[in-house]
Amino acid sequence: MRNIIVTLLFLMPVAAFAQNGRVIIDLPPSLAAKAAESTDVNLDGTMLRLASKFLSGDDDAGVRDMVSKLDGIYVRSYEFDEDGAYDPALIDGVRRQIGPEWKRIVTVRSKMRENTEIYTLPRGDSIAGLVVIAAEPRELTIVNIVGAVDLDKLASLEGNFGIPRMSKHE
Amino acid sequence: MNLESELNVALQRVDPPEGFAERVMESVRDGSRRPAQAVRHTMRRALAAAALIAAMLGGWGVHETLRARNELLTAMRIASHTVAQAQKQVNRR
Amino acid sequence: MHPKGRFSRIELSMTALAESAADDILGRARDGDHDAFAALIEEFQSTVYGIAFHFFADRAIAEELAQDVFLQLYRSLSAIQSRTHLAHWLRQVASRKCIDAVRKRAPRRESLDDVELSVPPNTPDPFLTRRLQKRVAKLPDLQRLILTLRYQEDLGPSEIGRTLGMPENTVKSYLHRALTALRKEFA
Repeated sequence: MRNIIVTLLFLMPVAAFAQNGRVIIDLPPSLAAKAAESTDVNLDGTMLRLASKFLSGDDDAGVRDMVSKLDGIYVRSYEFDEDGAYDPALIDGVRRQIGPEWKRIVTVRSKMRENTEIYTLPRGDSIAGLVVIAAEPRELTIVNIVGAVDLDKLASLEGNFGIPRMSKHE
Repeated sequence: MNLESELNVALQRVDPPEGFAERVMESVRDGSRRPAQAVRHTMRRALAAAALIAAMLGGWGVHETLRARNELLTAMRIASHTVAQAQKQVNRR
Repeated sequence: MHPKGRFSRIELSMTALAESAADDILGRARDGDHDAFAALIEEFQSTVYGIAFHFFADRAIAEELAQDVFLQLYRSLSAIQSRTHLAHWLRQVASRKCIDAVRKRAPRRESLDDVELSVPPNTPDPFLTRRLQKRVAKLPDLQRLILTLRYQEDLGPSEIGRTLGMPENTVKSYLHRALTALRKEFA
């Protein structure tokens, strides 16, 4: 009984997070070490507002507008040289945090290409959180956005970014 | 398929956007780099903004704030691409 | 006189003339002739821009880097001895700037399905070319750079090694890895 209570107490902060749209993307550091390229972004609300002040020009206006409604963006993205370099079970830790209050709005299963899941946390007429899990044989991407996300607007921003493409130097 | 000859095609030399040589010569004449055609802001402006905001907030360095900006754009690019790809896959069905 | 021999000699003469004219342009650029320097830019811009573009798959970044290379050339003209030296210098500086650009920043990755591509006109199979370019863009940095020097500039492993400051066998190893990865997908 004590063990159950301890486990519940341990899980409560995580559960509380998930209710606010935030999920902990807890993946082992060895994954990045194994990857040919990796991205690790952790921007809470404060850093988001700071960073968005640097977005200048018309093309960044869409991003500025979107970011002004957000409370956090967290990304883990890995690319590997070979198939099967990561254990798909690692993603279960993220899925476990997505409780019944979340809605899975997209499921794409493909043997050859990406398996994609998109979850949203509805809050009234808008969304309080977004989780995207995209798993390919050689790529794994998990995105968590906290705050009022407009999915169509987010998708429409594709291709509009002008920062250097950087990869792990070999 | 002959991979080597395909690579010769795929990795051919690429011409820069029109006016490249003129932009370089302008920079040669006045000593500063001209923004590329597609670049939407200059590094000098970004650094000035970074310095101002760093002063306002206190404690945030220029490097840190620029890094946050780059991380934000990276995150948005990944997020928008992933969502857009999922939409396309759904629409294909 | 063998006909072929005569034509070979004419070809060599024309090459020698072209080299001499090119060295003359270089000489004038070194003396401060801006028109001559602009002519050098026009001659080598697709080499430099191409290296940067195939590395970053981003036109804006490629142009910024290419501009930096030519500005550096302008400051270093007095050290350039010949047209051949110039070509080697430009490849070397462009390559090093590409590597330096990624070394200065923390490792990160972006999804690469939106890489900028440049499919040459009259390509027999533009879809294959596009797929190949996308796959090359996903290779690790050094593999991609070495592949570009090999197939864009037609350099051999030893020349690539001299350009990048690495042993020939190391270059061969990177080339082998890159081609193996590509053959897996395109065989």
